[in-house]
Amino acid sequence: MPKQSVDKKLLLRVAKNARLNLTEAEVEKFLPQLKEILKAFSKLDRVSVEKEKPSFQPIPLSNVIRKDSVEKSLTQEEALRNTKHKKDGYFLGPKAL
Amino acid sequence: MAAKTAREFVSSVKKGHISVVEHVENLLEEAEKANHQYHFFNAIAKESAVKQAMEIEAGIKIGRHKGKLLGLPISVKDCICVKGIESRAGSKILSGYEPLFDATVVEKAKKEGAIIIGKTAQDEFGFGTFSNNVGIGFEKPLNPLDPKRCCGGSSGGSAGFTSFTGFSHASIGQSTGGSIACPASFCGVVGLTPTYGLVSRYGLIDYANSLDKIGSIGKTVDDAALLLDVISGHDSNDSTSLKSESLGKQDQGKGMKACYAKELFEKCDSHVKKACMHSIEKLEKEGFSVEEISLPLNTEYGIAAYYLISTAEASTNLASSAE
Repeated sequence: MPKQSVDKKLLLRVAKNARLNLTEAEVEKFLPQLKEILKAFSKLDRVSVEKEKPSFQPIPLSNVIRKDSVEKSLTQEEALRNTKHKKDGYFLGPKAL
Repeated sequence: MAAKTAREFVSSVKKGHISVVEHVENLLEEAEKANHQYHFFNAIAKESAVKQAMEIEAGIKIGRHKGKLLGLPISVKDCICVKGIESRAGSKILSGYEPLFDATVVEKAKKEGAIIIGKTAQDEFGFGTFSNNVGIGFEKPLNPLDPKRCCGGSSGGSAGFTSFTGFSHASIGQSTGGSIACPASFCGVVGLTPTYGLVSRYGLIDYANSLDKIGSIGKTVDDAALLLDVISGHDSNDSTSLKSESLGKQDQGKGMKACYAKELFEKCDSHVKKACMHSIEKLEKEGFSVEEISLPLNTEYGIAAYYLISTAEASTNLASSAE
């Protein structure tokens, strides 16, 4: 893994990706925490995993396909109940064009 | 007087010896009162709980006695969806979210006659081990054995209220990396974190999908086992859930083998170790064969690997809430 130095610049980049506006005081608070967390992860760099097969799930998975039959589903009104972003019975998304 | 165990309670309900409505009303009164000081609940579903109780009671009067949890009040961790009850996973981000469906575990519990009384306090989205990391606008649940201390977490409200209440009750909790066992141990109740895949996670506000488990918390081993038995099983809505057999009755452990990892006791508090060893002796007396095993890699790298996997998965899951 390439070395990544944990500094203010990296923290602000991560915060931007996470859509967080951090105050100066929060940056001061979180920077040492982030360093501490990455230091804990670095323990894993010492483990050799070259011969191990990657695994993605603790149990074997197979596709689950339901019967192609009509089932009761939400009404349009119900499906939109939990969003503020709606118009004319549809979800209102950000402009794509 | 100690509360009846879940099985005793259900049996009394079926015989008509207990009024389900009266029991749940008294419990709700206790929960509301306690919440001012202890903050076990993020939402108390008084209206729907009483309505459910009245329906069950009316059913009993006309001979409808079925249900392994008939009339039993059940609380549900905030991150598990309950239809029509605000479900926020302890976060302000989800304020106002009232699911349009029940999580599979809730649906299964209701089908067996359980009454859903509310959503329990937790660390925000499950990120924590002490229930100290609650979301903005939430109060930290306090330990009923000593309110100056925390409940443990992240299923803190579930364990705290299970310990506090004087009524028959059990709780549905959820664990990614210890969030059932930790608060259960802090509050002196029984938590059962099942094997991954035993219980459907459909309707869970996920933390880390390859690690999340839904389980049960009860005042006794049998309470926790009974609830787990009801909520477990294959669900076509969760492709990671497995086909499994019923856990059966209490005495089915006889002749089985139980193991414990010696490394986990090396840095353990002496009181905790003593209590665990006492339980291990009890298991042996009950007919289990008990073996000490070694898990050196887990102990050395487990936590680092856990945090790497869980935070990576959590960032994917939370992206949908942050949009």
